[in-house]
Amino acid sequence: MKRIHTKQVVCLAVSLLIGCDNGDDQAKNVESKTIVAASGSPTEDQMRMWAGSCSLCHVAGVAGAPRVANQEDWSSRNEQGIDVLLQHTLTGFRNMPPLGYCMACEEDDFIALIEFMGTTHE
Amino acid sequence: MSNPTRRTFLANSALAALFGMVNPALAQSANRSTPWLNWSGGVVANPAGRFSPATEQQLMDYLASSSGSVRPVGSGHSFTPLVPTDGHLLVLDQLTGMLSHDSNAQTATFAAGTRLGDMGAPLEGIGQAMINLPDIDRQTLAGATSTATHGTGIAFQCLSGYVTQLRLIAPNGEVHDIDQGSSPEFFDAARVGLGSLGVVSRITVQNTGQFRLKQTSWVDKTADLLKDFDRQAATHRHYELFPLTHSDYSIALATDETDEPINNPPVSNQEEDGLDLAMAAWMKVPPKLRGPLVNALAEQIEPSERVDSSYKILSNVRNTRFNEMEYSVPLERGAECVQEVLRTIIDEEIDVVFPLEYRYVSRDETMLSMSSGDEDHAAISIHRIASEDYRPYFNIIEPIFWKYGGRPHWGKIHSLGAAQLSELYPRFEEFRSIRQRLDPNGRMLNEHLRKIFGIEA
Repeated sequence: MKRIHTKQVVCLAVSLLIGCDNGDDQAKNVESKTIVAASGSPTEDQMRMWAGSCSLCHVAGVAGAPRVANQEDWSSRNEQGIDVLLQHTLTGFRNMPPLGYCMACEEDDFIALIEFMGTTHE
Repeated sequence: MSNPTRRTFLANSALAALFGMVNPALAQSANRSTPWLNWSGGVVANPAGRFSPATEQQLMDYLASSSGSVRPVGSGHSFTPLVPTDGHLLVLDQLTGMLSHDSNAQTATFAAGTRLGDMGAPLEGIGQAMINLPDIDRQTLAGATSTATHGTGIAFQCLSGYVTQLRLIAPNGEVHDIDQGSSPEFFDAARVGLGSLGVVSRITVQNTGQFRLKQTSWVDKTADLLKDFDRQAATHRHYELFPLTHSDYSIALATDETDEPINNPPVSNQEEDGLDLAMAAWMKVPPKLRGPLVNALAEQIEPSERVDSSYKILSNVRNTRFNEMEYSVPLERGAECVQEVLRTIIDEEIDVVFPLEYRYVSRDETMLSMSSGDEDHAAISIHRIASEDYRPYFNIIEPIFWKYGGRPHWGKIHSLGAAQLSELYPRFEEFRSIRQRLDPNGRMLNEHLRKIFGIEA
């Protein structure tokens, strides 16, 4: 028997159910719009918000979070369009909690930060 | 860029679908701030606005110069509706970081919005470490202490028990620096204040020297582990159980100080494969028939060990979102209570795969912690995956906790109001009196807190 981390049993018991999430299917039903390069860089305030929240997962790709400016991680997500990505951010999606830990962010902040993270500088 | 009204509609439609209802507050949200949801997504609010002060002075000025309802928010990890408000959310995400420390006293002062997970490294830099930590470390220091969030161990109080001083900005903007010596009653109230006394802006924590921990886990029969629990709890620095539902087994987790070298490799994907397949099969089986399957799996789980810095062992990132109910019962009734919960899950054929959690917490002197008073407590948690309706499960189990004299965790789901709570907490009236004095107009209250404190709207 392979080594099983007992703490991991707790997480795995539920990670299987998360795998049943049909969020991807829902996303396909929404008009697809590709994010192009952000029209402007995030403001200093928005980058501070990013550093205190989004960066917790989106720098290292914790829990499957798409890594900042990583084309492999973002290309399929960008195809879903900003409306879908914003919706996922506001309500939570898979392992990402609602608002992605940014309690101070308003919609426009989220849009700027999603575009910042999803711009891959091809 | 798409139309904000359409985006709001999309978000609100998703929320409505998520909760199976149209939330009138969200339906009116076009001219308000972005809707707020807690970590699990089960608590929703539509605040008028958000205010995120960059300095304590800005927070004081805001409270002194404004009126109307406000609620402070940390990381949104409470499953109870402590945060929702029609007024303004006060977001402390700019008040972060270590402000000062005292090497002799082994204390350190942090801005209240600092996440617990961001405290370990700076403390390590000054040769200090937190004495104990809860299982999740994404909460802010103020959020965790204000709800009496706790870790594991008969020798350890909840986090609020290690607060030696705090700064509270009252609802009128007045500053109160509070400690045990200057105002013991006020201090015992403010350490677990549910954000109802004002806004905590900085907290001094009693720490210890750096230490390393070795965590050992194994699986055994729940009945045997519970019989031996007191001995194990007295032997190890930390000791807890994760009873597996619909089975005879629990995971035991023992944690002790060590000088052994760090050995804490992440679990590889290959290691997960066998268990993945086994558990996928487990969840397809109806609860009534699940016992033998879970037992067979449990018997194949081998013991494991890991060694690392204390803060890396005590807390983990929980990626799977859930809702949770946790009650603490008097120590001597803990084993009987958790066994009744496990039996009820089997008898009622509740389809839950999430294990329970069973641990001891030391008594403390705060007014409202789960373990306040003169006896230690056993804390018992039940969980439900965030995407599932927790109510049928929790509604069946909650009366069992009441039967054993259980006190609810303030950040976790419960249905109690002032009448029941005043019976459970000897200093409840004292707290209510302090709250009334600090916030006579109820600026810090919301619907949930009015219910808890028995205050008419």
